[in-house]
Amino acid sequence: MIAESLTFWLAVGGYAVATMAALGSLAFSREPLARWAWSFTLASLAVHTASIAIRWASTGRLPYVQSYENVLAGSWFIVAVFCVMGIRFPKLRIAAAGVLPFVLLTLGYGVTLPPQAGPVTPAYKSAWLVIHVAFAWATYASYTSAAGLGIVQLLQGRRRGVRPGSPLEKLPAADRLVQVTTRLVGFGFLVNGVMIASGSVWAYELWGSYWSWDPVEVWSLLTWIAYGFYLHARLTLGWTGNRLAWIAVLALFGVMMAFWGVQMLPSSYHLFRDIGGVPGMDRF
Amino acid sequence: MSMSRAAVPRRMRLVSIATSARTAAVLMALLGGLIVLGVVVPQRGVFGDAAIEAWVAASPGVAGTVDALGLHDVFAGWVFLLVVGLLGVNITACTVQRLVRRSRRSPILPESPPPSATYHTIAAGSDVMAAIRAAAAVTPGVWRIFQAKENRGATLRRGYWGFRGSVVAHAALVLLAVGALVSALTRFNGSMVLTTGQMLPDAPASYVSIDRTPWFGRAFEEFAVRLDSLDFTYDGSTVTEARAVMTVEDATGVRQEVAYVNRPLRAGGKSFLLEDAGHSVALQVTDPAGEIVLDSYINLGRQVPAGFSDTVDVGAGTLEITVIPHAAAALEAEAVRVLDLRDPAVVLRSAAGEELVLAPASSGTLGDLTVRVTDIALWNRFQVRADRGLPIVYLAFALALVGMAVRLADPDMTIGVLVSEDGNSNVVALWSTSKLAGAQYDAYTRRLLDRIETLEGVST
Repeated sequence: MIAESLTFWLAVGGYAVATMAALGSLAFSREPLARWAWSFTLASLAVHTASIAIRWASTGRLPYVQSYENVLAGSWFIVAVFCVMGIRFPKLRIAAAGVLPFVLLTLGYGVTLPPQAGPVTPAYKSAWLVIHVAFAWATYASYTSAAGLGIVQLLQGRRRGVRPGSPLEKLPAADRLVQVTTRLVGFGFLVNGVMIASGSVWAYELWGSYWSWDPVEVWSLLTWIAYGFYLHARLTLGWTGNRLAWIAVLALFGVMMAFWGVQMLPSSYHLFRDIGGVPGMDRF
Repeated sequence: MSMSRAAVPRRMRLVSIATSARTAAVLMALLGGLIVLGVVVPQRGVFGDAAIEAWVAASPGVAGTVDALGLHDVFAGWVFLLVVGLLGVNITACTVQRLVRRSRRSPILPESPPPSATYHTIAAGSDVMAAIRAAAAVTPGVWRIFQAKENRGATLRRGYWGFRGSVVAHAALVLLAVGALVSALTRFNGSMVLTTGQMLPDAPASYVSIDRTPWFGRAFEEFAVRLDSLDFTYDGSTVTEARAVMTVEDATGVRQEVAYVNRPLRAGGKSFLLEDAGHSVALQVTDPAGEIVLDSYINLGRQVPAGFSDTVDVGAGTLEITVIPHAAAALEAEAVRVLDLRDPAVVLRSAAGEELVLAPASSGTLGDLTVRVTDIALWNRFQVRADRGLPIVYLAFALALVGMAVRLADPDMTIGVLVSEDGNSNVVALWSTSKLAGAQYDAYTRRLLDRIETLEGVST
């Protein structure tokens, strides 16, 4: 428990430093700060991975059940997808300035949650749930990285231009940014579809209905439509530039609502605190 | 010669609107707007009537408007259904139009390269077309080559499978809507309570409630189910596994199956989902005249710290019955495992406050009543669901995912190639007519040109 807590806080601290360095590199046009941000992100991801491994070892199962575990694993996926993108496309690492604040927000929510692991209730014992949750993480991670790229693309496209020394100078051309963003959105859209489909199968097996217009389902559908709109705008209508970047950034609001916003609702099938229970009804 | 807007036949204008990607964008935006409304305004179907009434009481200012516009039932409203229907028509029309257009028309190579073309010089006398064909064969993706007349160039197109994937994905979305409609028309929602050992046929009288019956087809089938046993596994006070051994009798014979939470029993096209459980007590109550006033299993529906409790009418009065699953000595340590029946007892309390504690297969008197407890068992409430749209929906999901994966794996790309002689060399002009023009196009054309330059037969 101490090791898990220690690694968790080290990861949070590391991400906080990386976020400040990334934002500082943009604000003060200091490219070296961007390199620090990247290094801290990689180091924090390693510590974050250790935290998840410790959790996994202590509970004997994947961390997919409690809200705290969803925060722990979900934020790991966001950083992991961003790091894969940063390794594949080093010039895009400054997108950390757009991605890491979301990671910190997510982990900040996790700080408010009880981390104690409890027994797994029957409702959680489903392979479909594991698939559903894993693909949800992958979805949100892809969309968050796409939004991060959208943010730096918007900064790059400002009318007053890029100041000398800014890491934005090293960014590739806008069409290259759009291409990577489109790939991320395309991947996210596909895994989002798997998430919705596997969730529907699980819901039918558990609640007897594959779709209930629950707020999370609705936000998830809305997000899917928004990113579907992005793909059609890019691939069918040939949109490019800032308006495409704005869609990538704004559509993330739906993701945040589906993942965290509904936790504030009084009643939902998807409240992680009492998942498996039909609201107002006792369940195993 | 161009026709005026008025001269364009109305039917053609309708087809044009129906097959427009912009129409799709508008409809998607409308659908998104309606969904946002459905999220912001509490929905009756999700939260129930009581929650809606509470919301109306708490927000009297907007409640009238919301009610008048039917915003409490956005997802069942005609506006929502209309938008979904129009989107379905639009998706179908767009898909069919693009399918027909793509299968009929081969790309036309222009007389001269467009301004976006890039130029590359290679040796004169090269068999450029042979090189293009060979290069296309080894460049990633399935390229189809449409050669122009007089060997002056070609159009290369990839995305053959990707286009078909897109068609499948869009058709699957329409199928999904059809599946949802079939679900809405054929759904059965009921609730059945079975005590261990009890068998009930699939008939209206067997259900404690029936919320929905199909608009089409039969609601009930020729079969019966029995709950043979219920087992629970605990970790501390938390149930970690619920297991119901059940028997199904139908026209094909008798079979026994085990149902779990997340793995319902399937019988007669219905799913029996474990919902919740409690104690049941078999009670025989005799009045002073020797007449039996009660002789049945009573399912106790109210959970209390000691076990399960309920009230039952017995002639002139009522009895409060509580089943305690464990012996009093073990109560403090074990009471949290309420569904483990070990050394159980029944506490009976009359309206006058008299109390009697009985073990199974024992009897006693409570006031002027003789009470006998013949058995203590468990009951389980099952959600019973049938949905004939389910296979269609699952098929649609599978097709949509496969179609999307193929679409993304094989992107659409069209590259134009025009060859012209310039003294001792050939000038190859390359450009893209794809919506993906840009870095991705650059990468492909560069790779293609590298291949052309390194292939045998290019230089003579």
